[in-house]
Amino acid sequence: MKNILILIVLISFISACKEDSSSFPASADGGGTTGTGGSMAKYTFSGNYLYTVEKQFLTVYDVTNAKDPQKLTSIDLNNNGVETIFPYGEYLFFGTQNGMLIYSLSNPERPSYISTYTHIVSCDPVVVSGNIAYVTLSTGNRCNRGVNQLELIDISNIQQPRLIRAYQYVNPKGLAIAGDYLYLCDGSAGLKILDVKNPNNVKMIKQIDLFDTYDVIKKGDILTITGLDGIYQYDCSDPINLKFLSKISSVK
Amino acid sequence: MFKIQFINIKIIALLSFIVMMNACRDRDDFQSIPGSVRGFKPVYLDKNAKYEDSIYSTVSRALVTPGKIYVYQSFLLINELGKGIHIYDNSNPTTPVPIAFIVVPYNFDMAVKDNVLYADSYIGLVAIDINNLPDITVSKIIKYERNQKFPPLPVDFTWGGWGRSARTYFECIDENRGVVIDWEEVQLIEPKCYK
Repeated sequence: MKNILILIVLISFISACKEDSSSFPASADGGGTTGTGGSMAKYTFSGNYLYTVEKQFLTVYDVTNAKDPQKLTSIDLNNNGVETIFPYGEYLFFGTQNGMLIYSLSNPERPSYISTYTHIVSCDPVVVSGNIAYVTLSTGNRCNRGVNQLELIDISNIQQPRLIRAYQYVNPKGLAIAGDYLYLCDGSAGLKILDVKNPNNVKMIKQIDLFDTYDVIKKGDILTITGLDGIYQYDCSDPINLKFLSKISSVK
Repeated sequence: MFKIQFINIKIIALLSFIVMMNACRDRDDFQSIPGSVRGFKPVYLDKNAKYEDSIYSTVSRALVTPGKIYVYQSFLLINELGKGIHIYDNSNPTTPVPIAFIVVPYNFDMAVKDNVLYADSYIGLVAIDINNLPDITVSKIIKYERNQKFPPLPVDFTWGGWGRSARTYFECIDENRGVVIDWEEVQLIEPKCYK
């Protein structure tokens, strides 16, 4: 009886671990020391692979030996407007001008197509957390027919991404997720802190007036934000009460 | 009398045809040669030099048009649209200290693994060893598979890369001077090329 109990406890531990690892971003496991890019990045790592987007091509490089990258393959994404790439778990998410593409990394050397979530032509990145993909759509030079909104997309069925709800903002671009909160670069409206605990009822908590914000990185307790007039850093150990640290001004 | 008139008509037709031809050529090539105008001058790679030589570390410079950002250990990397990468020592985020500017023509994106910086460039993926900053070594370049004779005119650099070039004057390319690796914005005197 005792043995059976121990066995049950053991099994539950093992399956708990399995769940944890599958929901963990692939960029963080294995593969030496890598850094962190913003949501607008076209370069990203997963394991010992570097994935890049150049025009409509996804190129995979083996970077096991960092100084001597090996090009493995180039895949035509059949989409002229690929703007961003985001790895999550065993998937790659692409932000494109007409939607979000999902590719599988089950063979990391040759990602394969899974599904597309199509939206109106617009410029834009995607970040993922849990079962939700956060996509911003904004108007700009190249996509002036677009709309300005944040879309929350249910990806629990990866084959069939489904819109939960869209929220209107000024000119939303880069974004970073931090637990129940989302940092949103909203163009001329600055940086917005949103409570995304309930995807059906996203609430704005605070707005920080910055000059034309574009992208944001959250790494540990530091929030780094790009704006047209420079780079800002904030302490975000308290996620809603940001503490200003520094600004590197641009001279234009 | 009749004959003279007929010849006149033919001459007029010919003249207008010539004028029309010129008008067409003007529109295709350049509106008209301006005396002095802002435009671009080719930056040539010396015939004895390698492409690697156009990627180098230099003293840090001011941010002008910051692009994407990247955080690696205690470093903060900031792209300068189409020009290269600013590297800051961000050990103390209240006072980031500039270390170097790495010149990479046509760079917009970057990522770092094990002290190797991967950057896009006009020619392909560049792997740069940043173990001894501010000094760098180009460890490898993997070229894109495409045949473009020279880099696009940098008229419309945006966060996402270069867009469709807006029209601009430029100094015509002289292939005897080597391969064009970049364009420099200058005041041009009577430029003969327009695109």
